[in-house]
Amino acid sequence: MERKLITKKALIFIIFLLLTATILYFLLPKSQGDIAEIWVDGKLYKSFDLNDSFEVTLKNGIIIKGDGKSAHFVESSCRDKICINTGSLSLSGQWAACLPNSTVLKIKGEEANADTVS
Amino acid sequence: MKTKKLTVIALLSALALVLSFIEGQFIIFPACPGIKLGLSNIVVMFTLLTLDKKSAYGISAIKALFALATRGVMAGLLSLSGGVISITVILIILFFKKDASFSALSISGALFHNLAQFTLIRIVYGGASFLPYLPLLIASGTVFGIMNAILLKAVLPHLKKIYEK
Repeated sequence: MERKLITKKALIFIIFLLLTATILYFLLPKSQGDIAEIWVDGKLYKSFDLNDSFEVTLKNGIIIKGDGKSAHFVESSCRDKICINTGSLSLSGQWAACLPNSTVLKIKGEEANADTVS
Repeated sequence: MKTKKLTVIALLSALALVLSFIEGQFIIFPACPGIKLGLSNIVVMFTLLTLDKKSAYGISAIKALFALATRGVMAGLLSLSGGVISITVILIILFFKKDASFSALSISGALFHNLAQFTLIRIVYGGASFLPYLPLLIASGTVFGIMNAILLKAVLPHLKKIYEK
């Protein structure tokens, strides 16, 4: 039995997936966030108003900054710097994580969103 | 025969580790850094299709141990969850459809790899939602899944030679 690279069904599956991704992209709300939450070890450590400027240094050496519109990781002791490379977050639902330091920065909207359900 | 199989698995594991290290060096979408090409999964799929499922799970576990040793507990768990779930999904598809195409297998593996890892992050880090990233996860899983299917089909006959003689 020779395995095929692609079949007609697989092609339909691919088109369906790409369409779903596109539709989801336009359907998902893109509202400006209001609150920046900092989670450490799975617990809420602190939250800030995203409209204020803030700078916080955590015990694990991570520095997170907010500039009044968005928030981002500034410094971290981790090797990959994925958290810093994620860049500025401003939309409700966006988040950046430094997994080695178990720190997550989350943006939330004022109104209840999908996040708060579970 | 047993020594030979062991050697082949060791070789494939080394290949998977090198590939996962290399792809870790590229950031494809800065806005969603978890997204990778998934090149090392070509090796896992090759193992699954030409050797057996035990060896595929084994290589996936070795990859996870490597991530644990070099990048910490969370990286290890993420690697393990993604690996185990994608192999299981591919096995389920193969169970129902023996001649499923490379693309179908590779894309399904990639999608469930992404979903497993994001679900784990969500559980561990207090409800970080993957909803905003879902379109990107689906699109990248599909595109890189096709890419890896093409690569797998191309390298499979050649890679097979390492244990055919």
